[in-house]
Amino acid sequence: MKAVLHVGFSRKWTHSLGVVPWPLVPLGNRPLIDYWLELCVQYGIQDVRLILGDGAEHVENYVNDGAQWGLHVSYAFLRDDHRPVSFLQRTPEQWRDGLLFLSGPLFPRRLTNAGAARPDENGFYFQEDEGGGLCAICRRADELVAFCSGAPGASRVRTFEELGLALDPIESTKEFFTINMRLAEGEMSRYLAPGYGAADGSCVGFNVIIPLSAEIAPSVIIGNDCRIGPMVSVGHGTVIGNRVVVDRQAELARCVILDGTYIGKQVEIHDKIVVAGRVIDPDEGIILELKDTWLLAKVAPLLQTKDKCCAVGGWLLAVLLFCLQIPPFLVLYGLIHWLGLGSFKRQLFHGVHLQMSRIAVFHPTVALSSSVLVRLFYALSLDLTPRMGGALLGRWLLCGQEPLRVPEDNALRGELAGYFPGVFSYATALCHDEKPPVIIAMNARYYAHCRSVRENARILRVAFANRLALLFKKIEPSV
Amino acid sequence: MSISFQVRDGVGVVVVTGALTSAGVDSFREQFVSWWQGVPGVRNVIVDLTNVDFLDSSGLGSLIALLKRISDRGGDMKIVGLQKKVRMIFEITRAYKIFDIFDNTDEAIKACG
Repeated sequence: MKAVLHVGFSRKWTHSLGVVPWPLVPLGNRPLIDYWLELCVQYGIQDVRLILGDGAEHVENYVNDGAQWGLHVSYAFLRDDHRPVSFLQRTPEQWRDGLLFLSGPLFPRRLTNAGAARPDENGFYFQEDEGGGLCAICRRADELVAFCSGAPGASRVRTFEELGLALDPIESTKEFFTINMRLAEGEMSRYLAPGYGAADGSCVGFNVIIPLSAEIAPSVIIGNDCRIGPMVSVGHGTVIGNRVVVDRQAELARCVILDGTYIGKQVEIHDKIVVAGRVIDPDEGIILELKDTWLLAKVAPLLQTKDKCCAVGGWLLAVLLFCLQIPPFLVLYGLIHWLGLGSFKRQLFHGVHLQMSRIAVFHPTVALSSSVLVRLFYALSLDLTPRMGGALLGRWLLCGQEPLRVPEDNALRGELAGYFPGVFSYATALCHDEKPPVIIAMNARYYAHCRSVRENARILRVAFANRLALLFKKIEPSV
Repeated sequence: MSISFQVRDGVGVVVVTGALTSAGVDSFREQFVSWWQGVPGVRNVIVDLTNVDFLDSSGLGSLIALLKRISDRGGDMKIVGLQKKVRMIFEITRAYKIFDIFDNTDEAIKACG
């Protein structure tokens, strides 16, 4: 069975949320397309074709090749004046093993905690709503095409309720709000694997700071990298996106706060959607733009004055370290290369400001314990000398997160709100090229949150101390 | 923004038209003060915001300043006719906890009595 998800047609109502296109509107802090791809996985579908249109690049950046879900995702386009089903008619033989077809913003709402049942072998499930949303699961694609063309199909049409699904159309901010409220009020646990759901139905992301004086009334959904202030009240049915700051004594209840929003002191939000400085009343469709940044605002960009000062200070220190490293680097690397103990190989990494850079990474051909030269090379951090050169050119910071590889760490790069690749990182002391992804991700998130001059000094101190200790160790350092 | 003042049944009625934002609050305050000093017998005031389509934090601040001035004379201030957007601002700033809000002027005058 294959899946064709037509996510091309734009929907005007999403513009008020500042999220374009609709497949990426957050429902319980997860983009809508995420639910559909998960459903494909559950039905055992591996090949997914996404038909793109407006905002194609955003969807493609998020879904990528589908490896995150274990899917193979490919892309296609269809002109706006063509019916979605006409795409199926192009090469009907492709779908002869069965097809899941979606067109339009429909939310696959699970009706029970048990999840969605698998479709019958001969079942033909079909739903079309007034807004143009269409979904069908069919084992015989010709039957689906005939049905959509108005011809009667051979099979009895069955409803998605039989599969434990309700396909809720999302054609307005009100429907968007309603679905979010349902998720926040406890339905979110239907979409979480056992072990990830809290008993009270709440979902709280990574790196969320909640002081003791804050009052959280479950169930709520809170995204990653959020800061809740003292004496804040977060009431039942609140959805808070990623990178949201709620200042002290604010009161939230039954509301949706989208990514990157600042909620000011003593502000009260009830039954509203908030996007940066914009408040939307989903019931009446009123949009209020506020320019009072002390009330509501977009969270300040991650690169702030403090970061700039750190970067400049780090650059000056990098110049000094580079000058100190060059003479021993030339001597030691000359010897290592001549003796065949190791060499540099260039690898592609994500650099600062969305650019990509190739870094020369040192690959020893012998174990550290068996060569004093290689150990000395690592101990003096000479394997980082080319990277230090990159820092002088502004491609890296002196201290920061472990640079993320292309394409292995692309998914993590997309998840990180702040990316500060550094020559030295928490992982530098390990002297390993292959670090476990979970450690890289954990360290990256921690650094994005705790970065400061003091933290940078700690990274340098630990890295230098651990590396110098290599001279006195005879065992291979472990991860 | 334009402002008009009148006295009905011994209650001052201030009708504001337009957007009450930082651009107009100084003028609003000055006009109110000059009118307020000219009607020493009036204690209660109704601010009619029926024709105000937007107000920002400065506008809200000016209303709070008015309330203080009126309270100093021993009176009370009531707000009438909140439009949807203005009402949303009152909601998120919790200003509805400070002011008495009515649907129309007649109700507010009755409440003053």
